[in-house]
Amino acid sequence: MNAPSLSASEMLHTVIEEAKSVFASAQSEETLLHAKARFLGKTGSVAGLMSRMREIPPAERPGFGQAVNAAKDQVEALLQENLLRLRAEARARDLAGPFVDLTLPGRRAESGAVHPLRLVERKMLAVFSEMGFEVALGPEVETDFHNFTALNFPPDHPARDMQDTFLTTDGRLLRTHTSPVQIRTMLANEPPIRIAAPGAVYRCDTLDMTHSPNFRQVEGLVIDRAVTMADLKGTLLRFTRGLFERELEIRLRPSFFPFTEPSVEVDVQCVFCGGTGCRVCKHSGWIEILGAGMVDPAVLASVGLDAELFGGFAFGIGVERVAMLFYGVDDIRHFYENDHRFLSQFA
Amino acid sequence: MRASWNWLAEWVDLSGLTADEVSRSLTTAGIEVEGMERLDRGLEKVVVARIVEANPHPGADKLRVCKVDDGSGTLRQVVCGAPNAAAGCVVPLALPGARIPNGLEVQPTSIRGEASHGMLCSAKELGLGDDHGGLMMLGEAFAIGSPFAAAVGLDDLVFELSVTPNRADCLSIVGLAKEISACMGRPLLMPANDALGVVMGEATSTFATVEVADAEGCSRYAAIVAHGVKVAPSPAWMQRRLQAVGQRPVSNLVDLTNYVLFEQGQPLHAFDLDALAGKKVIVRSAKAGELLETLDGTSRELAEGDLVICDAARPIALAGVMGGANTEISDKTTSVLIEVAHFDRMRVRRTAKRLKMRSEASYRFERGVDPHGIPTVVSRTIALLGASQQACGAAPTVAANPIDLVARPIAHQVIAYPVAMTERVLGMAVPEERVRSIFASLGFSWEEQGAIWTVTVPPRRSDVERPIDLVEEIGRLVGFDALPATLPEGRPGEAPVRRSGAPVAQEEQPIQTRAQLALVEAVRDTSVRLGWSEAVNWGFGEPSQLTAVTGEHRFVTLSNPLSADQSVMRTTLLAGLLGNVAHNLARGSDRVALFELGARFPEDGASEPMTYAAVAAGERARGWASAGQRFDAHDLAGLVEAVGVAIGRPLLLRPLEAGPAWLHPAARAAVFFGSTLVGHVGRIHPATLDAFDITEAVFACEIDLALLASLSAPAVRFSRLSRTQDATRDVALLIDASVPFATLQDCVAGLESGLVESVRLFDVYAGDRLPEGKRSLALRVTYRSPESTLTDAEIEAAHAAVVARLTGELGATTR
Repeated sequence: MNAPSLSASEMLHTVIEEAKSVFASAQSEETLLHAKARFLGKTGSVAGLMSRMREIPPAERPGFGQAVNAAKDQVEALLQENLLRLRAEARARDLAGPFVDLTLPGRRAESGAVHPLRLVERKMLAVFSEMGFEVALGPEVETDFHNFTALNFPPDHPARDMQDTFLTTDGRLLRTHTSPVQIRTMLANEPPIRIAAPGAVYRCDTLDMTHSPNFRQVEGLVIDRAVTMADLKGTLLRFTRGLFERELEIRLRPSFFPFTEPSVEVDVQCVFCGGTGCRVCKHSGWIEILGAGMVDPAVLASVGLDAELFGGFAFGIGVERVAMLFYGVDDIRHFYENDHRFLSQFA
Repeated sequence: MRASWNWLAEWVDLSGLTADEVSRSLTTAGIEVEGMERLDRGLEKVVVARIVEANPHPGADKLRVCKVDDGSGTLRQVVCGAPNAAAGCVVPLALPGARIPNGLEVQPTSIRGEASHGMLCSAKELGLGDDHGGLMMLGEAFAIGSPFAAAVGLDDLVFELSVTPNRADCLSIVGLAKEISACMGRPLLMPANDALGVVMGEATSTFATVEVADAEGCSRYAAIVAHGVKVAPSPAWMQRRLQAVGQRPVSNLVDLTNYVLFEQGQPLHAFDLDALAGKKVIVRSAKAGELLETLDGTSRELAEGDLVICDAARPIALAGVMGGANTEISDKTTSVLIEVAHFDRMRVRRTAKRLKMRSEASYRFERGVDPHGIPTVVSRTIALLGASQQACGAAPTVAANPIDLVARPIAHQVIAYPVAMTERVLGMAVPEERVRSIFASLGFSWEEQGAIWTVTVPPRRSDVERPIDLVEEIGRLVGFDALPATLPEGRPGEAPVRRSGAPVAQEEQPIQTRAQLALVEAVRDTSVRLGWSEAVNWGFGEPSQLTAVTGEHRFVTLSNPLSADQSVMRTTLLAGLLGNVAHNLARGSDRVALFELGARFPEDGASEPMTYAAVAAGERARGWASAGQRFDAHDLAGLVEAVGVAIGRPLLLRPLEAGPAWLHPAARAAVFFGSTLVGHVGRIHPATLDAFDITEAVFACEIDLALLASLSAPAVRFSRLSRTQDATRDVALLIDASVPFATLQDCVAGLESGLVESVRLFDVYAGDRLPEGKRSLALRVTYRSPESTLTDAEIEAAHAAVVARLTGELGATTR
């Protein structure tokens, strides 16, 4: 067999030079690792050099072996060097960009909104809950007994005109207030009673800026031994302060509801001007927010409670009215249109 | 109710008080003052003036250049276009700087070259009527230069009052005067009440007789008879007073009855005596079918129980409601019979309500008129009749001894008042001396017998009948400002105790509100977090739209709806929500996602289940990162699943063969909790959308929350974390597109090896590369044994069983 055309050292030199140039030209870790196989793999150049061992005179073989191993180390060092180079370049490229504009709106689910009337109702119930009131509910289609008669509205009494009533063809009616829940609760439960009754009520009012034929109230009722009107005043003061989260004063004005005696309208100091007078309170400094009173003995009698033993107070507040005050909504119709542009303001 | 300051001041001493003070005092006492109106607004710079000269305008045919005496001593030049501007006339003059009621600001000016320093005014320009034919003529009695408003009685202020139904006594000037007197401690006044201008004639019974055949309906009937009356406009002061309280002047006799009504609170009616057959008045109950043409020209068919006034031949008035045309006062009337009567409030109310004829008279009778006030009203009426007739130059003869027939005496209310009750109810002690002064100021009399007082209340205050009513009077006049603010004692927050044996037989349904409300709140929060906004719609709806949603035609129906689209109670929440979708789409919204929580009203009326519904249309999200993604039915399926998680009741969606009309046949599912059907989810049927004029695809769900609340949530049980290794195997099944995933899931769940821990769908593919009608479902099945880590052989065996079963039972092949 002929001697190799190149000397052993030339061959080693060629492999190293070749590896140097191939590794340096690699632009990615992938091509570099591919190139690695070409030099350091089982069938790579370095392995090829080793296979020439038998062409080398035996005396030179140890020397040749050492030289091949040194070349292999050199190729591996070159590989490592280029690997580090490529990683440094890759990191530099990554850090160089592309620019991510984080001022773009973030990627997230759309958020919805709780209806403002429910926000206010929730707030009211939360304040009631702190004061130990249990929530009670009743039907919206009611009987005349629960809505009127038991609440001391005699048949054919002018007080019924205060609440124009929708009637159903099956002889019932749409409750005109949440007060029938008082009757249902008192019929079902023993005193002491302390309930808050939220719900929809109905009156034959044509829809305009401040009236809706269907609106919401929250009713409060306390029945116990020895409950006084001073307790009513204290409760209302605490309720309005909890609701408006301000130390506002209240004012009780005599009024008339068939189911309470004495009856009062309750004004709260204007939340906008604090009582000095503004457009919202019509320059009176006060805003009427609820009706209240001591439960009329006739109502207690209608549910079979002894007015000599038990007494109590009741009050009702309009959710829409308070929501309009809270959020400055100037037209009640917004609440029922459910326009996204309106609702999203309460998200 | 409107009340004039000047009129009130005739009956109670208001000297030194401001309108604000009176207003505050009335409001504090429970007569809410809703507004105050000055009647002389715009008239501050208007004076009484006399035209001294009225010369033609050199530059205009229709104008006159007037020299006017305004009382200042120097004549003023005013250019005037009124046809009746003539020398000698006394007229209103608006001085420069006046802003008169029609809005005009009067300035010194020059009209076609002639200087004009003021404006002579018509009644219309001063807001005093419709007469704009010429200057308002005032007459010789007016002092030149005096303020016009005072001269014509317009220096007045009107309170607009809201009087609650119980305070009928405050529906009159005199009643309000008494209230002001009681709450402000002011003395009552009594205007001169002499019957000037009338001649007293023979006894009334000579000219007319009265018979009350229905004493239940009419407790007392008084009649005044006058001859020689003249019908003419009433005196200016009377007209001004009536205008102030909102009443249009008609003629002196009609105005007289109205004046007494507003002043005394007692409705009157004047009959033309010459038209009264038999000169007889009979009060009786109507017979069904009787006819009466009322003053408004309408023929009324009477019903049994209507209280009517008749003469010897026929009905002549609906008692307390309206008079009849057959005995109406006319220009030719010379003799009148004036009725001053007390009618039963229920009877008047029923008739007025049935015939929809509410009047100032019926309004007062319904609320209660004081029968004991009748003699006072009779003498006041005669005095005012004299005064108003004298003003038009007549001097009628009033028959002596007016008839006053008491058919059924009405007693004063006597109340046993336990003195201690006031403190027990109010939570505030009121000294007995204060109670005495309050009773006295209200005209109550009383006898003190230890702990119980006997209080006598005049019928004028028909709202005071019981001890509690006296407590209210005391509290009201002490003022609720004086109440301390305390909190009720007791132990709040305890569970309610059920009453045994309800005293009234009612179908009382105790409602599990706590559980239901917790669900409602959880559902609300979840929906909002997932991007749905809450809607609130009305409880009533439009029947055809509701039917388009549910397919049902039966409703809880209103007998007096405001309009056809609010005529029945909703049987689904989706109709309201679809209306909202239409509203939002019409306003250009590109994403609509709404939910509602509220009651439904099934036709049987047995319950009002709390219901949850949601709708979605348009873009799923509007962000740049999800451009082009639109809502589909799977969004609603996801919402339903999330709601189930939120309320601790896993909800399963199952294929559906038939359901409510709103469901699209190709995209619908039933919602189950366990084995109970609780709702539906899917795409809205295009025919349903037609009813709402929606053309875009809409997706929805509706779930019965009340039903879910009644079913208990499965208890959470901890299961031990496995220490063994799991293994996953994927399988892609080529399967008929019509086979629901749920079927496949059931099939896997039924595998008995017990090694299948979970099956997760990770890809769904349907497209060109698959045969028609097929889809590919890629599943990742996780295998695990709790005892030991599975060997490859065990895993392969288990997986082969799963694949075999799926392909075998579902007719699927693997890809």
